[in-house]
Amino acid sequence: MVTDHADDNELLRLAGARKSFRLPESGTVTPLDGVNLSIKKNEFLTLLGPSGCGKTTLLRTIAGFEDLDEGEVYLEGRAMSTVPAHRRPFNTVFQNYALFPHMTVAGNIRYGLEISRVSKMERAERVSDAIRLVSLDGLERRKPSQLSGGQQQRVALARALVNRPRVLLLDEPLSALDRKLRQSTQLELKNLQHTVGITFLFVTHDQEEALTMSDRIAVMDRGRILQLGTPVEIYDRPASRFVADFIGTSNILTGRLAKGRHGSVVQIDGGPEIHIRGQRHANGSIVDVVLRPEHLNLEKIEQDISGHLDATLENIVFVGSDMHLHARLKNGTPIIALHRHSRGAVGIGLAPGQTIKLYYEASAPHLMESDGS
Amino acid sequence: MSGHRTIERERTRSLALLLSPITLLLGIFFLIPLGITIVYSFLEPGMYGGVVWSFFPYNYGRLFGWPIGGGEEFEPLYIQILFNSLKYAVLTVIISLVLCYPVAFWVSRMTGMVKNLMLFAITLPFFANLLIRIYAWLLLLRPTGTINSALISLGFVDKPLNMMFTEFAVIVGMVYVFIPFMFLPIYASVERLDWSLVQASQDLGASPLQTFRRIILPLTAPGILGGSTIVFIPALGNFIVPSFLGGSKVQLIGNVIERQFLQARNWPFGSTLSTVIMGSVMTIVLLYALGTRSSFSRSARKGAGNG
Repeated sequence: MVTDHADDNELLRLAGARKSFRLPESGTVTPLDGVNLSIKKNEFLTLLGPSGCGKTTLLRTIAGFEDLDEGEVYLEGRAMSTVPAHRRPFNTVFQNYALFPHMTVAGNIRYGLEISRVSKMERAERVSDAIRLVSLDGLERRKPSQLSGGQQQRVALARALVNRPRVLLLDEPLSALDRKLRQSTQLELKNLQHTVGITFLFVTHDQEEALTMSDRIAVMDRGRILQLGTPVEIYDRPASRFVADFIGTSNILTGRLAKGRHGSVVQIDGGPEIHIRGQRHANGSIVDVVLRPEHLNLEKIEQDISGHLDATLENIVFVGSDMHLHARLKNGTPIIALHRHSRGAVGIGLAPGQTIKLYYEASAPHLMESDGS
Repeated sequence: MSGHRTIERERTRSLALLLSPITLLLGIFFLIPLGITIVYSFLEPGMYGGVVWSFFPYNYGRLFGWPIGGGEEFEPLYIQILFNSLKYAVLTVIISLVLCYPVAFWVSRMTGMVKNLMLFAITLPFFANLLIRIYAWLLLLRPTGTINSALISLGFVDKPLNMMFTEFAVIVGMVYVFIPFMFLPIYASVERLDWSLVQASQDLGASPLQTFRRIILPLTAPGILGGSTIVFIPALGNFIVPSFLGGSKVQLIGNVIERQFLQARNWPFGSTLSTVIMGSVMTIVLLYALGTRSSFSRSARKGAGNG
């Protein structure tokens, strides 16, 4: 269970958060199934998961728009369940921005300050600071309908930040932007978080977004947090098949661990043996091996312990900087390798149907306990 | 370039074609009678009805009391009746607004069949003839009517309440007749209201009351203004409700006009009264629109620093 011990750096804590409701068509849904989460001061934490995993419900619970069936939200040790949404020191950037259409850009940003009766002088100063912060200078008198999607997103951000919330809650704020804009905004958001020194709790289903911006990521599925860690930890050492699958592209092979005098191998059913290094798992246990596409090379690696997979090439997909090689192992398992063509896309001399060798370092495979799926 | 212009011309032509029926209809059945009314208001009444074609400004003189002649006398009662009618129309607007606004929120929150059924129920009165519906109120309100018998048999009152032929009866009747016209525009604007804005307002620290005043009210104002306008205008000229439910006690401007045309056979004076009503309605609506617009922009400019 959850202990009441909180470290000094903790700002927000969810303890045993549970929520479920009944839908007439699909029975009982449990968007939060016992969530424990501790959010540190000034961190950029991302809730990542597929749609319907409970991440938005979690955000709305913290904002105060939904009540918990069980559990509690603590802000610096103070329980929040009796505090109504409008008294909580959190502000939200909504997915559709929810800008007030009858107010100007400045009016939207000013709203929270007017409500909290900030003096007129300070108000004007903070509004113009916020406008400068999100580079909306000159658009103060426009109405939201006269702005582009990216500009609206900035207004929503400024409107929330100007109140200096303890936590800024962001509900997929970039999903309505096109790819280019989304990527530049990701970096800006990260820098902005650094500048303002406010804790960001960011919700997204886009793993790339999560990896780019976050200090820590909480991967969610079916109302539970499956793994919490830095982007590197989550990418390199996924805790389960779901996480490995959801973050980036993974080749996941299941087999039996065999420890030997000359290093350990995982024997894949009806397939190759995969050489591995380091083994926390018991000899003979069934494990899942994760091999990222970038760990598989067409050229042999000069290393003491390394291995290779024999596969039949089925497809070569050109994606610009890289090529994705879709191949199949002898036992029928599909496998994806990434080939970075430093010498031009043509002339790697490969064709579908060809047999290829995919080399990997023994330190590359990541072992997880098999969940049997 | 020339292809573009052809499309443009094509569009203009089809637009003209599509708009011509309504233009003709309004032109013939609205503008011409309106012109006739205004012209008649400056003509002399004929001895046995009809008009005499000579310029005769004394119809207006009879209303407003400028130099009187031509056998007409200044009668301040008409202006009094006009103001009284304004009072009834404003009351009708206020009461139906207060009744409709919360109901619109309630209905907009309903789902599926229940909602459709509710909207159907609200428009249901349109399916029955107006006179029959007014007669129904007569049966309800008269001393031996349903309401009084019920009150007496339940022991709330000893003798029947005098509700028939009172101001109360007229107001009830007017509100009853005009309430769907108030409801539908309000409902349309409430239905369009984006509830995520309400949540955003809450998120920014606004209490329910502040959210109502600064977000919900301004965003549903077009419906309120629209509903109030289309209730106010016909309510001001209505003569059926006061003549059935108000008897001789409640005389509104509509009744006076009706009598000028049908009983006194003084078409020019009837036309004068109609023109004056039309003029005052247009002035009031215009002032109202201008007033609300400037007060909105003022509150937007200064923000609600006090709230």
